Amino acid sequence: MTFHKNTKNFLAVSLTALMLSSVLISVSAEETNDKLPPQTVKDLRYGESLFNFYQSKYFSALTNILVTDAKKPITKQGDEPELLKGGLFLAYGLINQAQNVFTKLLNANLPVYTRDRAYYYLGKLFYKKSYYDRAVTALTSITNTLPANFNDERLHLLSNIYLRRKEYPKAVELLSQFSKDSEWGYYARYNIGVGLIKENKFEEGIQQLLHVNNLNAHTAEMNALVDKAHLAIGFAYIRNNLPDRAPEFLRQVRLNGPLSNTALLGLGWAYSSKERHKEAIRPWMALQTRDTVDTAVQESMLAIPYTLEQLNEDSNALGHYQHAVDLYGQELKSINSVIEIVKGGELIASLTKVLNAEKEDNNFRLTTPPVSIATPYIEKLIAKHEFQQAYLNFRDLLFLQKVLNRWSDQLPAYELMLNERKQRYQNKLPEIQSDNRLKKLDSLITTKDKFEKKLRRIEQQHDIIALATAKERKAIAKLTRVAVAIEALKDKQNISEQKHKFHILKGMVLWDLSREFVPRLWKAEKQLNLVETALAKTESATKSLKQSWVLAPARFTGFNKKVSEKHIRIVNLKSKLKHLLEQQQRFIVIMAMRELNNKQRALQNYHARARFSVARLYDKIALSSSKKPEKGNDK
Amino acid sequence: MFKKIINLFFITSILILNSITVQAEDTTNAGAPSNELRSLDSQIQSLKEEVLNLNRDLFMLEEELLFPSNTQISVFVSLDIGTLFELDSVQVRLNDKVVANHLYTKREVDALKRGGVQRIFTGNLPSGKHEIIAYYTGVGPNNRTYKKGSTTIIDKTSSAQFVELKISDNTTKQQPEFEVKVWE
Repeated sequence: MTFHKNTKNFLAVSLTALMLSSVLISVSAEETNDKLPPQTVKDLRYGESLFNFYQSKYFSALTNILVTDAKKPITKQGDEPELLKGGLFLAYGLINQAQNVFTKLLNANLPVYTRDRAYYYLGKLFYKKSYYDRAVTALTSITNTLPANFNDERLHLLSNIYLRRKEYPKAVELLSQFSKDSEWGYYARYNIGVGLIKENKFEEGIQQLLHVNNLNAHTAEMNALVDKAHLAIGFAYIRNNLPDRAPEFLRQVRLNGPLSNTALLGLGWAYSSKERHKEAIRPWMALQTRDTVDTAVQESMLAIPYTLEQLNEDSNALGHYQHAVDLYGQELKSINSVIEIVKGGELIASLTKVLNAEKEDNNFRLTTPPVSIATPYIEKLIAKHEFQQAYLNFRDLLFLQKVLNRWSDQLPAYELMLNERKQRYQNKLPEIQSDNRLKKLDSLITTKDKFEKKLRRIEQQHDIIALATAKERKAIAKLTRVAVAIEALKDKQNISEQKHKFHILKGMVLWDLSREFVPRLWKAEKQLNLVETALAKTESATKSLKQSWVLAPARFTGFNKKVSEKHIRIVNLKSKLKHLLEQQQRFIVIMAMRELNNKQRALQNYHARARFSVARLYDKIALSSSKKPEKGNDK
Repeated sequence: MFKKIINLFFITSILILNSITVQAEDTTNAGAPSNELRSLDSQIQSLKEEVLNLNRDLFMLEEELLFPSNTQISVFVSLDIGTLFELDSVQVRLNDKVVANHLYTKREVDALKRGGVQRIFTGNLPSGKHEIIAYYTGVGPNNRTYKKGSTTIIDKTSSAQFVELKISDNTTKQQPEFEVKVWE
């Protein structure tokens, strides 16, 4: 089994932890997401995409960015939106699209920090695509501007590539560059240790694994890693014919951890290989109280009587073999029925149930193990990369199905809405077209023009009386009548006093009119401007209304066409999806069946061995009994 | 002796011995799935891309249909730093009508604190003046329940309008601040 950071969780206590491990792509995305520093948002649309991204809603975040790109690309955030887009494509598994984004970015003149991040993503991308040479080029082009967690992941990827190429010194050299207590560093060290042992560099490998053993584990993941390292050292010692040294490490594997059964089994074999049979039996006996689905437990059922035979306890061994025969028989029945149930679709149904209960569209983690009867039998398979990848694809397909279903439910509503709008338009159109208010506009404009002309004349002629108020007009009329009266009386009486008063009053009225002329003219101008603005708005509204009733039919057709086109796309995609979903389900079932069949074959093998041993021991005991002198016939 | 032991080992034990010696190789194979998986995987990636593009197109169509740009208004919530205020919920009223109510999960608050911006409401408004009231509840300084309302009058124009409800920390006053920003 791979021991990658992505698989680190496999070693945690329960199946839940096993399933949390996920695959490389997902964990990388999650890590990237979790550890990006807070950002300053200068465009709300970019912030909206980040909001989804930080919640691991990659599909929604990508949709936000793509909509923005199509409408009005974000310009105020520098290269961040493009980096985010590339990272999102990568996280969502659209590797080619991600590659296009990063390659384009790297062709531009970028600041070092952005360039380093683009290389980092590109390196990860090539790694995922198994283009290791190109991944090394990208990952080693990075300078020193990456945050520590990004850099540690970079080193981890490089280390894995060097291991693959068997360039162990290069991989070991990287170890000193990890940040202090980096989890990535410990994973790299573990992988290097195991790699070196495989290359028969036993001591060097053990040294690396011992570093992992000495880490002060605070998390379930790190505890699991330490267990794994203990187990690896223990079995490496057994393999290198140093079984005496193995128990020290195998005993340190946590008893409640998922590796404890394997460790107990190994411990027994370590003692057994030194012919310390009584000590070997103890850990195996401890396994007898554990779940018999586990292959280590199943194997111990044969190992115990085998060792008892070494101790010449044949009767005792026979009892254990018989017990093993019964148990294997039961287990075979169980596994046969599980195989039938899985064939009947129970595993897929349980996975679907878990996935349908998930609220997030893309968190890349199966947080709840499937409640399937097959689960205990396929734990190890579930932890494998291939299964995790198949699970992720299955989950993605179910999510896409939800998306497509949502839109297919929605589109008829839009069609209905469009039809109603169209109907309303058709009903309203004659009413609006015959509305008298629309016809009034021209006469209003004519009236306004008249007023304007008049105002211009008043201004030019400085016609102060034209702007007089009603009261002033009344006063002017009165003064005119007085003037007439004075004119009529001027030769008949002495009216000089009245004449004087008349002039004073007339002067006052004219003075007031003259004084008020400019403010009144300004006010009138202002009013006229307001009227002009209002009329312009009305004219524009009328124009737009008229334009709308002309364009509306085309607009309705346009929308209808768009909706129909989308409907066709949905139908086609749903058909593709159905086909792929079936294939993916079949693929998952095939994997599960392969695993179950292997287990079945192993059990059949154990069963046959146990039955053979029972027969053999019966013969042996019978033979030895027949050789012994009879002490009494009554016995 | 070891060979003898190996011969005695049963299936599981042999598998364990093998497994620990191939891990380094498997590690690098993590990115190289089988052909069968690769082929199916590539078809799924292609479908994902197609659905993603369709989703984008449908979002744009939906927006065009339901929220034409001349009447569109969107209200966003952002949280700057957020050490003095732990956001629980936001209610948005537009012209005295509740248009959005949101209760935040921890995950959402974290996303806001890291720079994410939540679109809490999208709707339509005619041009002219409108009142937006936002009510915020949460935990303020000294772990006290904190409720705050803010009122703003916006002048809706004929282009799409973005309004940001911005929560920030006033470190001088040691109090959270609630600001409404209308984006052009």
